[in-house]
Amino acid sequence: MKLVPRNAPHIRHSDNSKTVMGDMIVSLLPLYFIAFCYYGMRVLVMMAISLVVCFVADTAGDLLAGRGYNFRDFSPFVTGLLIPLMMPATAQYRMVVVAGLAAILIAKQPFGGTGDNFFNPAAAGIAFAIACWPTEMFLYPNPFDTITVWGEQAAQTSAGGAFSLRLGGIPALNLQDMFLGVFQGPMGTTCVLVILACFLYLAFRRTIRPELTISFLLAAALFAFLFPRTTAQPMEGVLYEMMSGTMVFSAVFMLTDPVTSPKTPLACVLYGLVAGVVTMGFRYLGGFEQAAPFAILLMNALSPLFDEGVWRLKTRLLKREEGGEPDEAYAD
Amino acid sequence: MKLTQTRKIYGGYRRTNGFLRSNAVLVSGMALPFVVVPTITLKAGVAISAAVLCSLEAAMIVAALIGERLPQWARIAVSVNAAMAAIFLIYPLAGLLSPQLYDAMGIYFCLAALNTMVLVRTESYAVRHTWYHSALDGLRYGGGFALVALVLSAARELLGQGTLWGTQLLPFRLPAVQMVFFGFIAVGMMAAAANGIRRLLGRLLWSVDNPKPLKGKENSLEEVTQDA
Repeated sequence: MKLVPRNAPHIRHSDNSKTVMGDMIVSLLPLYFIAFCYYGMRVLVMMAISLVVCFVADTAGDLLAGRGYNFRDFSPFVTGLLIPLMMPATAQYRMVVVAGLAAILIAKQPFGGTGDNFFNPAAAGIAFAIACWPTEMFLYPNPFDTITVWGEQAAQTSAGGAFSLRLGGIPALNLQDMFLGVFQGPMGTTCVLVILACFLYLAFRRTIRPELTISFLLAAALFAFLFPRTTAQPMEGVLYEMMSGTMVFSAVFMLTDPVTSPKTPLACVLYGLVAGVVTMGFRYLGGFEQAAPFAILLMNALSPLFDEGVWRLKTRLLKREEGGEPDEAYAD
Repeated sequence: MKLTQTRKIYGGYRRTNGFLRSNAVLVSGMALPFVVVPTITLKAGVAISAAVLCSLEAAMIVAALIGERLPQWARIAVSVNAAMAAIFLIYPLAGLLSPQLYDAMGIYFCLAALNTMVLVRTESYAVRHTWYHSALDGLRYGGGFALVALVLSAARELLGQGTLWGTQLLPFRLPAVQMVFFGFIAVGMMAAAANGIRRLLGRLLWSVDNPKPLKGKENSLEEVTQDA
């Protein structure tokens, strides 16, 4: 029998940070492919800049904190891939740089780096970019227009479908185009078909908790059904609300961040439901048409309360039913 | 272990209590709203620093002169009134710096008379010391506040508007830097940076006193017993 000496822990889960982040990267690449087909080479340049900025900032933060570089940590790459997808394809490169720096140096590193951050770094970076450039972040080019990679932009930009909904109008789009992403919007969040395919992949791989995404979208859809903003048919209005902006994208890639989301299944369902309502509330009453990043940041701050609340509820139910001791796994 | 240089420098460092050592804002966390909210331009930073410094000085001197002759509730009321009188006297300074400063700073200029430093230092220090030492203490703590406020306001104006004291220096702007949330984030980062610098300087001082021994002279008894 051959004995191989290894360091502890000796019982390991098949998933680790490398596999989880690797799955996220694999699921984000199809979105970049679609964005490249719609908007051209500029998409890839934005991706490259974001990746470099996030990687350098994260490495610098780790070295400054004395943690050392971990070559198995792909989380800055995931953040770097998420940020440009929520921006217009004509966004200036400095907006990508600032968003990446804010994501890593404000929302991630000061709290302890990978695994210790309270807030989703990509959501924080996009929220910071929106606060800095509230007009430029919501002007989108048409798909298949020529967009220059460097220099002045000649492509015509206009507001997206979410802006029309905000004014109480109906977007001048058919639902098929909205489903395939052939309309003005953030370059990676419009193709709902591909995002749903990525969701199925991540859920099948057990990288994300599907109950988070499903409960979030159900709550948001119910809210849009009960309180429509447009004069369209109720179900049409719901579909317009779901497929405009970054709703579905945020539900699949940002809300399901394993670090900032709750850990227990019931807490995840409750978290998703509340997040959906909060997101729609921000959409209806907030100052920006892209509400999901802000709502996710707020929910990240409240995330531990959901786990704590579920544990206390289970403890009380157990005591009431059998007078037994609470499950030791939840006691902390 | 030698501590010659460390003791020499630390003696002087202790006299900067409130300014560098135990900085009023970065270490003690006092007067945070005044250093976070109004410091969006360097002019505003100068104005709020002057307001806090003058109000603190006036309150410290008056509290030292009163001592423990009055009960605490009356002492605090008199000190705060002295601080408010000082604010009233330097109110025209804000107008001299910029006519828009009154609107930009809002209520915070006048509210500086009620900042935490006035309430804490008058009761914990001024009532038990002479007016001279209390004035020096007020100068240190007010100076510590001003140091942080000026650095923060310069950075926020430079990044937020691309200007410094009204002169355009940078071609880009980040308006989010001038929002309140970024002020809190910046103060937190400054506190971490100050702590890091303090620890680094401490290590440097210690390495000056205790350099690495040359090869072959490790574990020398003379080195260990010298200046014990």
